Amino acid sequence: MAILLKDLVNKNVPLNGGHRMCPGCPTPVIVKQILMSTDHPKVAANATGCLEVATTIYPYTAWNIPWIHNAFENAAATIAGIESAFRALIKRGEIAEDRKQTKFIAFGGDGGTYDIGLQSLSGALERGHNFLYVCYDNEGYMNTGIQRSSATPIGANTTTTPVGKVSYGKKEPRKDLISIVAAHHIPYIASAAPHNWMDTMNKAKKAIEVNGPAFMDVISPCVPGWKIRTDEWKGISEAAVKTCFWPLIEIENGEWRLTGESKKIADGKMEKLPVEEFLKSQGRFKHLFKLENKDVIKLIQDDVDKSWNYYKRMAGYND
Amino acid sequence: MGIVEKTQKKGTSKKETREIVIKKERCKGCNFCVEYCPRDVLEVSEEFNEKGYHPPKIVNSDQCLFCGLCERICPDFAIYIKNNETEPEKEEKPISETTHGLFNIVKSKYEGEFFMQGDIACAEGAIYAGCRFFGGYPITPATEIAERMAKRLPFLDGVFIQFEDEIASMAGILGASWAGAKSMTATSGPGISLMNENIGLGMMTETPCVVVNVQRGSPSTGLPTSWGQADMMQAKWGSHGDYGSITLCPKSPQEFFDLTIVAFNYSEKYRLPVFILTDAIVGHMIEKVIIPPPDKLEIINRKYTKKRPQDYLPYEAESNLIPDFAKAGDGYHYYVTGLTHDERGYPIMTEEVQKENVTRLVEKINTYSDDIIILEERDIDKADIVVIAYGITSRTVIPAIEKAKKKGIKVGYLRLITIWPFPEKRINEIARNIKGFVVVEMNLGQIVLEVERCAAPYTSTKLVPHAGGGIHNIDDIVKAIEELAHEKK
Repeated sequence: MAILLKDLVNKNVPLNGGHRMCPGCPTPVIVKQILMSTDHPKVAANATGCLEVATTIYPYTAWNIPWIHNAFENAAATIAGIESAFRALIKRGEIAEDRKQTKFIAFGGDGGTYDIGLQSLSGALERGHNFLYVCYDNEGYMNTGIQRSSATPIGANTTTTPVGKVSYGKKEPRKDLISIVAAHHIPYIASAAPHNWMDTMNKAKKAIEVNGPAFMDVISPCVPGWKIRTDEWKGISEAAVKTCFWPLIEIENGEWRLTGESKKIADGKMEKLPVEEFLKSQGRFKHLFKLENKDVIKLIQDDVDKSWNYYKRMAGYND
Repeated sequence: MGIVEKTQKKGTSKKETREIVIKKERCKGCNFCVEYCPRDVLEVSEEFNEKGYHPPKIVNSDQCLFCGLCERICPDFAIYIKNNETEPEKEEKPISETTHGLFNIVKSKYEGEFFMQGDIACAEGAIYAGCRFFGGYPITPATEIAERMAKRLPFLDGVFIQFEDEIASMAGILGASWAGAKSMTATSGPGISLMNENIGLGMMTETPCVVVNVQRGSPSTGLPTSWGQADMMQAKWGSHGDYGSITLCPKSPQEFFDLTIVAFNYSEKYRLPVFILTDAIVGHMIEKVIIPPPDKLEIINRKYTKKRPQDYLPYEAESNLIPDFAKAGDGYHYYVTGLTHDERGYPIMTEEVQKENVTRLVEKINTYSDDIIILEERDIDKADIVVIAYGITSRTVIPAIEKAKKKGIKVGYLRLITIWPFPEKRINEIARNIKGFVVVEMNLGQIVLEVERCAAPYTSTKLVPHAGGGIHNIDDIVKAIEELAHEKK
């Protein structure tokens, strides 16, 4: 069944408003897009991070579905435990018929997914639990005050890759998590961007309903971390896709596909913007527009082009 | 705009002018600057800015100390102190003695009096002690240490690495230590729990390094942004097995600076990971910190062997129980393992070698415990009751002691600066002459167990617990002192 906006407005919201996320943060939007894409009962596990801290503290507790917090490194392991035990309960006949289709979703930030949580994510994917792992990727440890993570792009200014005379910011390119997860050969993997809500929700629906592990990496522009205005996330999310910094990818049973704007760009129906369009409105890249850092932008463009060409090749386009 | 003060910086011929700058258009009239100014320099003006608020104005310009509180407190960056001549970056720039090599000691020019956060003081202490490798992972409330190191180490030819988790951070600093660097990591409760396996590896392989734990409310994620003192036992028993360990416990940013240096000295001298256990209050507290000139404080560096490579055995301890290091890159043969090993470093799984190896790990700390233990004592000889506290709680007990003294009770004060090895001898000594101990700590009873053990046959012990996230009520402490004082023996 297709997702329609007019149906969505009548649905119960799984994550209430009035929580303590920063103004202008798209992460709760992403959570809602993911959870509202299906009507099955849902259980969420949440790694330590912005989402966990800000949406839960009483009296601002915002979750309307069963929710479990765990340590920083093991959301995937916790949800795997829940899912396995639930299957055992079904087998023993202790779960009512209408609850048997309960879906298990884990949320983690990029710190808890790319870095410290990679081991438990990989383990859960390999064991083949039936769950969806969603990484809301704000490209850094924003909850502890903006440190670099392995999802932080080249040239970004963070408190542990400070910009100054010695350094232009982070020097290493970001980790290609989509490919790492793809190497587990799980049934469904996707990257998404919240401005294209229809694309995100369609992907989430597929991911939740598929039998077996699924993974989604969703870009989540961070107001204090990326040093942007509170009304800018949508534009920046869009720019990330249109510059091919953040291609919209879908991998279904090993078959790579591009979706949304990325597909249009690959098909030549839309123009691929230079990466400056993505960088220019973010304070964390401000220093790159100084004369002495001119080369760094080229470095970022090269990195973006390289990975874009790789994804295009994987999706069956010839250079 | 603003007032201008001319000062001559100590030791330089450079003149520096400072002024308060008020960006009127940014002000939204919260009046924090006016309220918080300790010298009443500012006042709310009559005029309106573009937004329709009354920005502050300077009235008592000669009173201004340029303390910068207004700058810190302003939520809108509308007021700040401007330094007109010197560039702060230039000031910080170090003068290197030796310019080659990754881990050569480079003298920093960072000295003088500062208004400094505890975490930052810790980082500066580490740099003072010669730490040139920091491996860490962000965690509140210890992140500032990593952030400071990330800023400072590149100027000192040092290395800052943000690892992918705490397990890797701890393993990383052990590796760096074996390559010859003084290395450190800093974290909080959950991070220490992850590090513990590698801390055990550090103990077994006798690797010098410093592990800072800025304690927060626990267990698990607990109170990430507030404090506790509930990791005291974990510091001693965190990793599996028997080993001697050293833990220091600062009560102020200044002491955080000083004890970080002491921790490095201990770690190099006794060859083990040394803990600094502080809490989020001390870590985030901003106080005066004095950083002395580079040669003023004692710095102990690694003791390298004088033997030739063919005669050298990496774990051959003389009567002093502490084996000498060999310098990485000098052609010595090394074999480092977490398995039970003999003096060559080779794993040998026998009862005899296990006994020798592990006993030495414990004995090397016991033997030197008198040198390691630092205590602060006040009025102990005349006291009936002695209050024992450490870290931030040692500052809460002072007014309680004063209050009890006014009530005619003779109260002494014992502050444990070294927690592990535990000062058993001294406490046992004191126990013989007093009526009782009151142990004040921000947990539900950890160090009190040790005090009870040492005091048991002679005197009784009373705990004033606190679960963390706040501070003790002074009256609770006074009550405990009174109860013990009036108890019939």
